[in-house]
Amino acid sequence: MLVPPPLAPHGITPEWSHDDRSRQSFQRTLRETVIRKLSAGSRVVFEKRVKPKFEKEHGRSFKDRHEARKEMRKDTFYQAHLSIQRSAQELMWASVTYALERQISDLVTRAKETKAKLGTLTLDPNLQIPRYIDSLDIHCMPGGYTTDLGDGDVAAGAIYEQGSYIYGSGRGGAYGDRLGQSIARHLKRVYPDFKPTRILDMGCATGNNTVPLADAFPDAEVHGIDLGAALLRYAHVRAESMGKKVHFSQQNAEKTNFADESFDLVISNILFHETSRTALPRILAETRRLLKPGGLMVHLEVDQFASLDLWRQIVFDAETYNNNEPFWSTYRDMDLEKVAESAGWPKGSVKLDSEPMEHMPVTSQSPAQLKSAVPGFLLITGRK
Amino acid sequence: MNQSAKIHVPQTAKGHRPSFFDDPANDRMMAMMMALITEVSVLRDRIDTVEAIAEKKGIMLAREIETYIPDPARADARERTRQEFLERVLYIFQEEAEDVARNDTADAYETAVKVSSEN
Repeated sequence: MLVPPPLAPHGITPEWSHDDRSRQSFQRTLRETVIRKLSAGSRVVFEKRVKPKFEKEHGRSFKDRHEARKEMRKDTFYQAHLSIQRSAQELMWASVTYALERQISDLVTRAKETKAKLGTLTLDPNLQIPRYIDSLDIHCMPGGYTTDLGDGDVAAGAIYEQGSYIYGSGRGGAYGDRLGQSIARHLKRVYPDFKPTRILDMGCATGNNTVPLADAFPDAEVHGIDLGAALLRYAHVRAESMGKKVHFSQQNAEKTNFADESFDLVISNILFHETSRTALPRILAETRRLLKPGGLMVHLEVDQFASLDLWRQIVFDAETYNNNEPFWSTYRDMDLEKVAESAGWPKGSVKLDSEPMEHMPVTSQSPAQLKSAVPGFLLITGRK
Repeated sequence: MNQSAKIHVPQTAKGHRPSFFDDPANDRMMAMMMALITEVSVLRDRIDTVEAIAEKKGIMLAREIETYIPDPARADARERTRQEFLERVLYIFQEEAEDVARNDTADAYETAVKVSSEN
């Protein structure tokens, strides 16, 4: 099967027309084929054209990725590549947002009509949204995480869930929950006797990766927090309609209103790189405050620069500058063990680990290609 | 819900859009082209759906299409349509050529603006 199955429907799944589905499929294909080929081409251009030219002119190699990136930006092949990649990102979101515009009122009505039987939803209209979240719309998602159109709006949730599915080419699986599943699997493998009774997912968005923790630990009380009200309304209806018990609340992970030592397990998924230099240590300190003695933290993140060659550093830097990912490069340069130490985690108590991702065999690529296409993930773990 | 209360889903992202080419006109051109390519692909899918639905109802459209030869009148009509289509798509070249033929220079345009303001 060349094409990934669609996301499994739930109570707040939007309705996509024939042409909406075609547009979304096309954007997925564009990303999987053209963008990847352009990227491979740009690598050749870098190694065979830009690098030798610079070395010949300057009698030395690039001193760092910043210098290399600036030279690359002058190359016309790379310019066209970046231009197409940026448009692909915008058109990916457009394949979702234009379709939502015509049905947003119906979605809001459906959300309002859902009666919660299992979990809860607690919103805080006075919550201060940090600047690192609303100074621009991260990864060019129209409206960003925190736009609330009012009147029970769920648009951000619908945009995020479907956009993530297209972006990841369905590798997240039918429930878009691969990351949460990996955390659950990691816990079962490394801490087979660990039985948390209260779990917190920080920056849970639409809750796709929160639910697998509820499944893995059915006796635990599971909480998900996020800054975005529309994300959380969507997350709540989604979980309820799937028969999953999760308590969602609108809170900032830097400073929640939970009491000290409230949780045995605190997790997050690709949250850190969308925060800031000051917020990240605060989130690590808050994680520690919330954990009971013996409790575990598992924050899943993208790999850092130290593990990448110069070309891949340029590729990832391009995200910072061209895809509204302002903190992405700074995060990748940070010494996370030191940051954790500054946040109150004793030296040596935080480990940087990895958990192999379970790739969904959904594309025509060979397993090796698929593996190389999926960025490595990092687990920042610690026991209090 | 009255018209003014209708909420609108955001369609663009906050944050300056970078320019990639030396001339921003090329960025616009590339973006429009990518959007157009998307729509061409969507149209192809739609035709495929038409064929698939017809087939379900016993009409083998896809197979018949492959062996269909238009009669001379229809072939001529297609030829006219194709030519008109190309003229429309490539209108910019016709415009430029006719500009040159008429000697429609930028200076002549300026003069026309001046003349009309003075008379």
